[in-house]
Amino acid sequence: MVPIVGKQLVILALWLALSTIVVVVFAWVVSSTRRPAPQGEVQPGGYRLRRLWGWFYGTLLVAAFLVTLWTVPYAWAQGSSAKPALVVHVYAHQFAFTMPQKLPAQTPIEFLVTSLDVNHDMGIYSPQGVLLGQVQAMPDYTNVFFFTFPAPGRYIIRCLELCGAGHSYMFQPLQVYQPASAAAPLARGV
Amino acid sequence: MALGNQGPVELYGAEMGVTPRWMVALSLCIGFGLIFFLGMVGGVMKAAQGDIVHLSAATFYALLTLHGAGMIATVVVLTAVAHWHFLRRLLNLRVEVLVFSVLAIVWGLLAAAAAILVGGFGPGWTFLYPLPFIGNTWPVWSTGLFFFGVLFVGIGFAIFCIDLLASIIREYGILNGLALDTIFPGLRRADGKVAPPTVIAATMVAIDGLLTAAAGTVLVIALLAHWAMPAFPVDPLWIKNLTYFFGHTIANLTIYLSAGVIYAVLPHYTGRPWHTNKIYAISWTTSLLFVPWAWPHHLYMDFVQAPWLQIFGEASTYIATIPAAVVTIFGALLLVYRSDMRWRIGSTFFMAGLLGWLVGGVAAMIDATIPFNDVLHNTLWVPAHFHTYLLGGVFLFVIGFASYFAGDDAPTPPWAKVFEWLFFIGMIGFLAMFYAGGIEGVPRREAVQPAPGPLLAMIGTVFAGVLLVGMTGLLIEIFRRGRRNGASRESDAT
Ligand code: HEM
Ligand SMILES: [Cu+2]
Ligand SMILES: [Cu+2]
Repeated sequence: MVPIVGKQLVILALWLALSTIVVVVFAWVVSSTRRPAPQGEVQPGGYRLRRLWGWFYGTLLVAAFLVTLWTVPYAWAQGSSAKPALVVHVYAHQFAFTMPQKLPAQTPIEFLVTSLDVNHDMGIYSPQGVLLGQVQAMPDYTNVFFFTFPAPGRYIIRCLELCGAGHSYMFQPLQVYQPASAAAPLARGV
Repeated sequence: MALGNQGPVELYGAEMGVTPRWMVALSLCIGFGLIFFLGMVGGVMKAAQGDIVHLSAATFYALLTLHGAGMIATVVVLTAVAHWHFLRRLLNLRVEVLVFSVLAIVWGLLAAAAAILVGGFGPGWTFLYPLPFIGNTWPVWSTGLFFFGVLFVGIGFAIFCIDLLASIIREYGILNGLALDTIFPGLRRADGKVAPPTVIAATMVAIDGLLTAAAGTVLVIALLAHWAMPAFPVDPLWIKNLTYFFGHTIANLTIYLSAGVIYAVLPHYTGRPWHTNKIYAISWTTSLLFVPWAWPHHLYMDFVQAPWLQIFGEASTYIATIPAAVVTIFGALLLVYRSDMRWRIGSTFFMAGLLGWLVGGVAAMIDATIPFNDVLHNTLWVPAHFHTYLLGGVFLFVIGFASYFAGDDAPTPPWAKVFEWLFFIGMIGFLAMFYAGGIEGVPRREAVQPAPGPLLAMIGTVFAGVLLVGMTGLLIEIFRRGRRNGASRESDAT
């Protein structure tokens, strides 16, 4: 099994928590039908609750939207904070990625990703198998994708877009090494 | 009231030898037959991913395409017919038009199925350009035939929407079809008649459905032109946007068609009327405006896409959930709360469907949030969430409707309860394996999955089997009731 960490952990927790609330509410409503009451009696309270729920839900959405605006993975949003130290071209094609086989860790990399035939998608899996990020590879277009490998190790680059009969076999290792400049302080630790 | 016009409609249909009831029953039978067959195909795909059976990659992707395209077209027919059943009397709809549009969709589906089963066409149901044309394993004719099939599905749906829209304009006018007269007194009719919620839903579906069908037609015609003349230029980014405008919206509209059914059926089981008010007008106008703008959430990982589309796509997706969460689902819960609900197969499935809609909706919103999308896009999280609200939502509404339609007054017999349980247990387990795969980063649409995909798929296959057994039993029970009640109705008539 792949460890559930990082974003995946947040996502799982969020979905489980919200789904549990939903299930509990439904169970409560279903069980309430055992003690029926006239509609006129429950409706006014229901409408008040709906107004509250509407405001609460709306506020939640606005907050979520604003938070995500600051954390989108696009070049225009990352701008100055992610000055790339390295520019790497990636050419996806059936059924491999033409790109370097070794790249440095802890170095902001600007990937220029395109495809030579059909649509592909470059997914980056950590040495533990955790999906860390991805970008589509589309013919005629170049996607600019910033990524920093957190630590050295053997990563897997895997295609995440159905691209033909060999789609399942379109993956390859990527060796991420400790760059010379950053190596000194960290070398002992790992 | 419009109900008084029922007679002539019945006669008109009878002249063709098709009474509306028969048309609904027939469509349900065809639809359920297709769902059963395509569900088995789904089970076979799971089994292949779980290393239980062996399929070549080309066969797997052909089956994937068949399952996806077939299921979507089928639930479009089923939800449209169910909604039509209630709209017919309110809007004086003609049964010939429904016959025609169902025929066009089924015909399109058969053409697509031939392209897939005979030709091996298999780029997935979203047929993303340029895979249908280059670097593939199927003959050129199958690509063309498949697109002709899609064209027919689009035309069939467009006919349905045009007929709805024309009738709504005739009976209410577009603005009052959305019940805007509850907000603007100037629009109010002399007789005080306000569109019931099921008509409001129909107005939204008709307009957005036409937009979708128009986009689908442009898309397929461009692809057919490229097919006939490879020199005809096609832009991959434009085509991808158009593809998802069509694909996302048509799949999404099945939920709005279902909402129209829920508005009509829940009052039957709860014994409480469901009235139109201002909130419904606002909420459905919001859906009308924002649902067609949600598609860009399929292109978050295409970083060249215009930034405003990415951001607007996320905002629209969020906004489109408000009417569902605050009005329709909340309204349904309020209707059921402390009502004298009659718990039958129908009402149980409607409640379960609302739950699936919400749980799947939460998962969809998480996926539609850009900073989460980069670890969920094209993983099993995607089929996880859409099976939750298509299989665990829309399909449950359709079963609920069928059960209501067949006659749902007797309490559920114990043996049918057993099948009900099998169905739900199988479904929950099946869906859980999809979610687990998504969190583990297993990609969707893989003939051969990386670990732990095969293990999860093996468990998922068992649950899918349980689900299909439960579904078979339930459908048999509903069919039996339909025949019994249908027969007694006919003998009443003579
Ligand atoms: C009855 C039980 C069902 C089973 C066992 C089943 C199984 C599956 C499986 C195994 C996949 C492939 C997932 C992947 O690896 O990418 C899939 C995809 C899909 N399913 Fe189902 N499914 C069922 C019901 C439904 C229903 C009711 C609908 C819609 C109403 C539906 C719509 C789809 C769609 C649209 C796809 C995506 C196809 C593609 O990627 O091109 N399924 N299903
Ligand atoms: Cu690929
Ligand atoms: Cu691929």
